[in-house]
Amino acid sequence: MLALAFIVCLAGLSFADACSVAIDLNFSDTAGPTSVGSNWKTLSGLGILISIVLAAIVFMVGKMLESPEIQNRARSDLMQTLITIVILVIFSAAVLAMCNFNAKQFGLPESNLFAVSKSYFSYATSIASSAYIKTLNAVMFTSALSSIYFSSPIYPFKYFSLSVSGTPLAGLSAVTGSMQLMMNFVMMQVIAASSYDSIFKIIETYFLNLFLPLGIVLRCFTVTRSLGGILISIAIGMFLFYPLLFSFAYLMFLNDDGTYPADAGVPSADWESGVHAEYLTMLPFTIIPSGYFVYFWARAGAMEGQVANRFIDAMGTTGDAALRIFIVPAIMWIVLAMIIRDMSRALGEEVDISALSRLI
Amino acid sequence: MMKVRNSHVMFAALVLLAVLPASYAATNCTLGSYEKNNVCVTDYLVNSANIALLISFLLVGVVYALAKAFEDARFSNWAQTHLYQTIGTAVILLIYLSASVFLNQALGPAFCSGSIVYPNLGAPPGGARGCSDWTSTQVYVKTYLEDKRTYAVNSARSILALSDCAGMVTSLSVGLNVDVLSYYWSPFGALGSLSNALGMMLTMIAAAVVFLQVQIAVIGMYPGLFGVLLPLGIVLRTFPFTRRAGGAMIAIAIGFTIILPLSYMIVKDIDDKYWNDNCSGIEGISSCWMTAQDTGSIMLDPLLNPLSSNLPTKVINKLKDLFQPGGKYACVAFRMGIAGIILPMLAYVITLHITRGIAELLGADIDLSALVKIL
Repeated sequence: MLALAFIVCLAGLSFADACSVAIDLNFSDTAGPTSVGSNWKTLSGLGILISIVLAAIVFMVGKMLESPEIQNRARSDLMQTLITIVILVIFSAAVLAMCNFNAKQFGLPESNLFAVSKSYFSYATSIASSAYIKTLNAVMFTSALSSIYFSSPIYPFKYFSLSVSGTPLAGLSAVTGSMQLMMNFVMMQVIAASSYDSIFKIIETYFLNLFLPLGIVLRCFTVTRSLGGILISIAIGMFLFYPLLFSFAYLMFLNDDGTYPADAGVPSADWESGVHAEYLTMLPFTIIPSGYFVYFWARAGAMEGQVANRFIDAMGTTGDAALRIFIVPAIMWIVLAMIIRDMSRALGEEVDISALSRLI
Repeated sequence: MMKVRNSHVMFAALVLLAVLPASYAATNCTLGSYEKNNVCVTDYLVNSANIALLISFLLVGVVYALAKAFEDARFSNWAQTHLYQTIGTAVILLIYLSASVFLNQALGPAFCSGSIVYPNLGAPPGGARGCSDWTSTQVYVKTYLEDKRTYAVNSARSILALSDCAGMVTSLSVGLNVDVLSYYWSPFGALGSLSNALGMMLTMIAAAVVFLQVQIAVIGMYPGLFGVLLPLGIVLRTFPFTRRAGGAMIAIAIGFTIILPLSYMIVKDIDDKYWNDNCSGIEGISSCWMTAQDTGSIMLDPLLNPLSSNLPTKVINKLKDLFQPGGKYACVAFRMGIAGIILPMLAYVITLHITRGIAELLGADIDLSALVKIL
């Protein structure tokens, strides 16, 4: 139910380009991700102001109560607010650098890293869809062929007749079970590939606007500093490193000639025409004596070859898709999780700059 | 004493960092470029990795000098730690590149026509394929996996042919019509269980084909791992926030380009040994008619000898013949089940565990359980 609610919410969201969310501020827009009221830049500024005001109030209370402990805590929180401003400035510089980064120099197909990662997701989705259609074609073709019922006379006389009937290609259904199992796996691939793209769209548009301002406010206070650090690291880490890692993942699949693999086209659902053609081929055999055996002798080899080719093609594409959709992304997710964990550990701690200030 | 050791370390670091960029050089191109379509192209990623290392070394040196000047122990220790980590990266990379060259140019060819696990085995059946035109361990392993996939595909075709025959016979129904009376009889219905057994075998072969395809694709990723993951890992390792992630990427690149091919060579040895001892292949079963000949007219027996046919016993005896150890389909089951799925899984588990160890050496603790589960 939760997933369904999430999907329904997702359907109502509008998405924007990552760099426009990160850099632009649209004063005429009232509700979009780049509008003044929703963008991370204004919200973060507001958050910083709120944090400073709250810290100042806490300091005043400490002064009023003549409590050095409260005053020191407020001073520390103010200092951490300043450091958070520095973190924000560094992050802004990093985002600007990333948006102006020319990825083509590194051999990537697009100049923008966000566009490259979108290309990778599109490529992975096309491979998964191709595998699914191929497997579906193979299952439908085999199921239809193996269920064709055939009857032919042996002694077709009026008062006494002997006939043979059955499903001559029934044995081909031995592959159907394995292919149906494979379809479940392939469907998971399609879902996973689509989900990477959906996650990316959400990260592009909403991670900065939702998590970053909240994280900034929470980081400024001692009690919530670690939670704030986590939120900031999730926002920054996912926004910067998710497209970066998947862009370079795409680079790992270059062809030998240095070109990028093209999106796999969607195969046509041609199983029905194949079955109809075979049905028409079968019809003449039904009227000849012992046609059941003659048909099998004449056509079984060809049908076995067609079914085997579809089966092997589907299995091969499924294996290729598994690398691009499960294995390489799993490595990238492991690396991403480590980066976010390290960042949250660093950002969630009180940064001691006393030594640095002495140095300066 | 401390001064002498530090200067030795500094000198070693400078030598290593001077040597490291040279190790990326292609045969015919200058440092930091590679050959593409007979043209030298600048490799920005590798150059960025080298530059990141050098800049990191420079910055650490500046911080160390300042910390010493202001007698700040904290920054001095930080700079020393960072320096040792940078040197450690360079050392591990040098060891990795040496191991890669050793594996591809010395160890691999030496054991190509022999065996690591069974030194007295000699050449594999069918000759030492791929040894005379040796290029690299990666190509050798890829060739082995492609041969296994071809074997799996041929096995699937043969079993499909047998299943097709069995299906045709099993579903056969003889109809006798005398005036208004009709009688239908399925003489070979009992063979349905054979179809189930063959279906299970095809399911196993299907899983093996998919897994083999994944393995071929992973081995084929070698240029990507070496040319992308490794330099990217070096760049990430130079920054504090991403040091552990960079170490993890370097460890994964090392594991999948050194340990995995070596593990596959051991798997191949075990596969070849079993093949030598037990199997003669399933060549010969390629069509239903040959199947009928091979099984000694089992399928036609009830028609030829309707009064004295003992079909169930003959089928069971034939199944025993095909599926017992050394039987034709027993070999298929071994190659697909054991050598195609289980032994490679073991190779991956070993590779991932060693990768985790290398990552810990580089200061990163990776949780590879998700990757193990996917594989």
